[in-house]
Amino acid sequence: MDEKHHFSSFFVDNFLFGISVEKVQEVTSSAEMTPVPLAPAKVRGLINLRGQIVTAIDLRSCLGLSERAIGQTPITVILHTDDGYASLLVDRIGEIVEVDENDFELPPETLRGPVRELIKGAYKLENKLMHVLDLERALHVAS
Amino acid sequence: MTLAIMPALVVTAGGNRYAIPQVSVLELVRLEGNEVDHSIEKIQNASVFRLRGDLLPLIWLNAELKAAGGNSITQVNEEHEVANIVFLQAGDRKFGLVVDEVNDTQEIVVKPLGRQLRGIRTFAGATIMGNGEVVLILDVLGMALHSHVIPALRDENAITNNFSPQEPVLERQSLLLFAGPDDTRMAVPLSQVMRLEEFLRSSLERTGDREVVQYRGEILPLVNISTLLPERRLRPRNPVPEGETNKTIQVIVYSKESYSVGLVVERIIDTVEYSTVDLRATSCKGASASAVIQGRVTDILDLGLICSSLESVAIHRQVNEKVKV
Repeated sequence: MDEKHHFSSFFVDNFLFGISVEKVQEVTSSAEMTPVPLAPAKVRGLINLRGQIVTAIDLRSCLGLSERAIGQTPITVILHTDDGYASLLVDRIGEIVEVDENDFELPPETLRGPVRELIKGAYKLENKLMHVLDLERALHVAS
Repeated sequence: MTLAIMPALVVTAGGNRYAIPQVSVLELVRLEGNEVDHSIEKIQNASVFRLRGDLLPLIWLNAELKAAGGNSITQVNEEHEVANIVFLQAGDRKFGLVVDEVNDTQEIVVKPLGRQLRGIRTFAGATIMGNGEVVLILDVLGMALHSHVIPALRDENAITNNFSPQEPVLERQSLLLFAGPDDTRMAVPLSQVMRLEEFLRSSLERTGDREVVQYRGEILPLVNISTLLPERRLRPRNPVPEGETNKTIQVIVYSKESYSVGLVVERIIDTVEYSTVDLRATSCKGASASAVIQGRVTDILDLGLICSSLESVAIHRQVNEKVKV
């Protein structure tokens, strides 16, 4: 009973994250963004997705990482949520990964800090760990 | 009824545009040169302006939107060579909002902000401009509270009487009502509407057998709603007087993936909130349901369905794009 799952993978800094492909609507590289003053720092702006207004959240600032270097444009991952679309900004997009349920592990108890908050666990890939993003948490913005 | 289409004043502050609901705008004052220093008076660090005998507090939009710890918005214009003041009514208070530039007034379609941003009181939603840019809509009352023009204590009463952010209610849907041929009533879900536009009849052009109009640097194919739907009523309910032809046409712009279509309607009427549980099935082609809205039987159209059925005809100009699919 080896269940296969498909994940869309991407990088933020050196972390490899995965989101279930069913949650991903599309990935775009260039999106005009309208900044939202007074919003928490992780809210990067608003995107016009064919007439729908989508909030863009920067995973780098969720993880407490420094801002992207000038000239390094983020990749926008548009996601389905209960509340319409939302989007996450990441550094680089990876492959679609097929994983076996047996390779899933919960995060180690010793892992603390922002990464622990954002992941449900990790899949053991051949030479890397792919962290499964907890979308609820990543997209949550305390107001 | 939720006010989802409204006239708004578009202003610029800190390099970004913002829309202010026109219903809150009292008047605009522009000060130049010496007038700026003369007319804006200071009580310690609070700026005030005398508007026909009333002493009104002034706030600078740039400065108010510069949040501590939040996103920093570029430079506040400290050189007050010109001051554009938008006087606003918030509850029973009036105040002046100083902006960098007053652009124009537009009819805007209000779109709610995502869940992540609902906690921000200063914005009532966002809208999409003609060039595709997303522009935030100021919540005038929220702005007044944020800048302490209105003391926080009074806010709850004031808020109920004012335009406040739309909370999407479960199982309710915002519909755009419009009149079809012969005064039939139709509606489309507001979520499917990209923009509402008005074009001069004289600006219409033709390509092949299709009417088009130049829109945002592209060619927007126009489809008259009456050609899509078989009309059942023979005599109009409220006939339009003979000889009265409009100079303009009203168009609902629907946009999907790589193409846009302009649906020409007789007249855009209103927007309503409608409970989806009251919907009735319909036999009308292209409609997803029917309902009684404002005392009239209204077909609720599915723009996606309609546009996909005419894709092959209407989008012939995009042959090149289609080829690669």
